[in-house]
Amino acid sequence: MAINEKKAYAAYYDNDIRMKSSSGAIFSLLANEVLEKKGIVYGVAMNASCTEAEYIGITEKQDLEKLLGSKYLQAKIKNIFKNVRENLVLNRLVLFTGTGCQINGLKKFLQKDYKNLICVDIICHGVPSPALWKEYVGYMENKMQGKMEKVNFRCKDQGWENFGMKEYGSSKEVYISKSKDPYMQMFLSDFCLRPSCYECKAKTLRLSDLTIGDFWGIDTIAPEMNDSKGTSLVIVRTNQGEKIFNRLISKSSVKVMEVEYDDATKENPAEFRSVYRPKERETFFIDMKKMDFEELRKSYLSLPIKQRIKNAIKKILKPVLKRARRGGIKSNLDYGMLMQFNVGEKNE
Amino acid sequence: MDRKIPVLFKEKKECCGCTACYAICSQMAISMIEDEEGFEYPQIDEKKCIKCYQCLKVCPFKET
Repeated sequence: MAINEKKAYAAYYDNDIRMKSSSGAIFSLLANEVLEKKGIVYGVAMNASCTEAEYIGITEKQDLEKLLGSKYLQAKIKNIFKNVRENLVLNRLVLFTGTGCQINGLKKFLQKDYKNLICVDIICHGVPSPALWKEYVGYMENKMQGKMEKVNFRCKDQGWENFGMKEYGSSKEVYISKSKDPYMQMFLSDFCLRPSCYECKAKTLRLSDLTIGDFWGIDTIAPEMNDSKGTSLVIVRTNQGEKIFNRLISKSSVKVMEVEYDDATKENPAEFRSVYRPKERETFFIDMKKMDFEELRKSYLSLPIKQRIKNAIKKILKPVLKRARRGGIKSNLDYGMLMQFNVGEKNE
Repeated sequence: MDRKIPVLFKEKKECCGCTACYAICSQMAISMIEDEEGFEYPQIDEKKCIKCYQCLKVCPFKET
């Protein structure tokens, strides 16, 4: 049952796994608990060739890593809804994670409430096109002369600069910050989202028990909750969600602080508002079909000179301002894409 | 019976691709097909559809 007033929290799980998580590793904490109870955890993983995102169900802790970190493209659901229903009917504990609309769809498909189902959605900016992702993989593979074998959309290892490369054995690792990566820039400019995302129904109706997202703006709302390794924003929506969350935060390794919903979502408005559909959305995919990725990048991400000057000034000022605002503390705001390519076959 | 084949969406913005309709269909009459932008949308095989409208009932975009 939905609770009258949504509750919001800043929280993180103080564990090594947080560095592999997008924000505060709250999902890991919950998933671990479900797996310990012999439950099944559904979430999104990249396929082996990194060309698609897909739903999988896991029962072993060793597979949890596949579900960590946001995947910035729409995932294939295939027959997962039916599998979930089968698990539920057999009284198995199920944790289902996804976007708000996927959870609304699952709940409507099930047509009844199950006590053994926990639904967690993420604060969703909108889902980028899987076809654009494939174009990008092709572009990067060509650049790197190797097959993509791993991708992390939310690498927050601050050992990397804006752009970096490491080579060991038959593998090459590349880091590109989100401000430099063309795929991330196309995503964050909202050129390539699913049409329904610009008028997202799930912003006003959410059937999930808990919502998890990045706690952007943590330094103004709850600076004591920022240790620079990532903090989650957790929103509790149902009685079931409240019970689960209270149990999780009773653990000693969890840091938590209740915050005002309005304050907490100010810097992450995707929680309650769809993004604006830019005029570029009209032609973007027509051009994607006609152009190669490099041409597409040049057409859509090369800014007019006025904007470039503005950005250059901002770039100089930003680190200064950031440091001033944060009192020198870094946060996980600066993330990027970490990709691994197999370049082994180069010599064959 | 002159019930019509259900209309799952009129415009693409009325479908988030959640697969609820695809999963509920007892006749397996619905397939999820990728469009040119790479997003999946349900498509009804009119020969298989028995017009039970379960797909409309579970759609998160419909009022019911």
